[in-house]
Amino acid sequence: MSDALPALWLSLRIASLATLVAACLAIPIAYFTARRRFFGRSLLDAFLMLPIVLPPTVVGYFLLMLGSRTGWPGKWIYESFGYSMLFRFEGAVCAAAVVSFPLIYVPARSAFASIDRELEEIARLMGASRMAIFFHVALPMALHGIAGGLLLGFARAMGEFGATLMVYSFGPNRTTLPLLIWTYNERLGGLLDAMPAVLMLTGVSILVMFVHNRSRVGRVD
Amino acid sequence: MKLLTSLALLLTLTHQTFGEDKTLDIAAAASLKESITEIAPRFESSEGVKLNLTFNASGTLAKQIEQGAPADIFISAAEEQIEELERAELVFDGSRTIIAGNELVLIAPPDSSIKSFDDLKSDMIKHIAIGQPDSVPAGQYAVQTFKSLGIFELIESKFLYGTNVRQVLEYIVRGDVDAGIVYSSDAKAAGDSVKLCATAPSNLHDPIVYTSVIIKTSDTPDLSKKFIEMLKDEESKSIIKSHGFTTATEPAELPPK
Repeated sequence: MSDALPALWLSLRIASLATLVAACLAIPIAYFTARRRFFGRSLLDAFLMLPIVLPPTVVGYFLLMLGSRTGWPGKWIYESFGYSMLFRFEGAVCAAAVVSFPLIYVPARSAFASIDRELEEIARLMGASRMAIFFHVALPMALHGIAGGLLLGFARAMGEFGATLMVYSFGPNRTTLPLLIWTYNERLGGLLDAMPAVLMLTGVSILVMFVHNRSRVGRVD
Repeated sequence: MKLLTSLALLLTLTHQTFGEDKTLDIAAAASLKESITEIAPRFESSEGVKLNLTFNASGTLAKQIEQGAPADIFISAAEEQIEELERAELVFDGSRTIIAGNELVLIAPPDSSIKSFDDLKSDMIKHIAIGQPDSVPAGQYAVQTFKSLGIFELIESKFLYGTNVRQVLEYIVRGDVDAGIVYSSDAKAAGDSVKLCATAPSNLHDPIVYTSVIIKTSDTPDLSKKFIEMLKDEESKSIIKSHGFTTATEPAELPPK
């Protein structure tokens, strides 16, 4: 129990920040790809959705290439800026943000694609700037779909394991909840000790999915 | 269709013949990788068996054996895992044999300025990699050493855990971690890619001995005994020593400072 609470807190902090970062990227990009047709759009879509199917260890590998002093371009980044995201909070946030990105991007894209273009065109005719249209017309109307994506993204970020292990590792008072549960399996001793951590993670996940599903039921499509 | 059936039949028959070959499953501490791998072929050819070698943290291996993973021989880097298996009644009585010893060293990337364990207290050292103490003996020995030196509390917040001692080594070889604790045999295996900064005096931690046991579920206990005997003969001893381990009374060939 004494291990689980700090781990829960760490996971909550990482997942919240990761979802925020991923959302700030996913939502504008989703709007852009939903509105504009351009050569290679489907390819870009596929690339942005990759983390859904890519094993987390591959995600971790790419992040290591960025962060490790022997990686490429990690080596150049370290030599130029003296910075590496490995084993740092930012690294864990990065790993979680990458895996939750597609879960925010896909619903956002579909939400933007399904709103009535006429309303945006009217706003344009009335002289609104593209930024204004995005923030005052498109976003509010797509909010419902986007919110669902945010919840999914958050749940995924909470459960991130493989890439986090490779990029952030773990240690005393710096272990995320999924990693903590895994360490219980490595040690001699009862798996029962892992129960508090397991229940916490399952509980958070159930809560998030519950809110997600509740917000969709009763929604008239 | 007929061809397919006869092919399948042929495969099953030939598989049965291959099944008669004896195999020995050996689970050994990660640091023993090079040594055992070098000794294995001699046994394989003289006895006509195939050796399946698995190297990982002793704690992880012990846990797997407890859960039923197949193993004839288990070689641990610490007492604790052997005792745990003995408590679970998975060990043949009297099969405990010490085959090697080791020393604990502090290593760092080659360009590091660390000269002693005390330097770990410095703010320049952001992360220290050790094996996860709950499952990796090298990590347990590291914690004991730090506590004996009175620096444990000061540096605990910098620890990064590796899942086995070789992962700790890898972190240092990559240059991503400022310092790490591994066995001298691991430092030797890494050669020039790491800097050996200090060796822990052996009175600061429990004796590092590699103990081999025969697992009770083995159906080849006599063959297992033979392998363990081979691990103690002169040729094996010199191989083990050459990789930086100590054997009973002889000192290790330590990597040059």
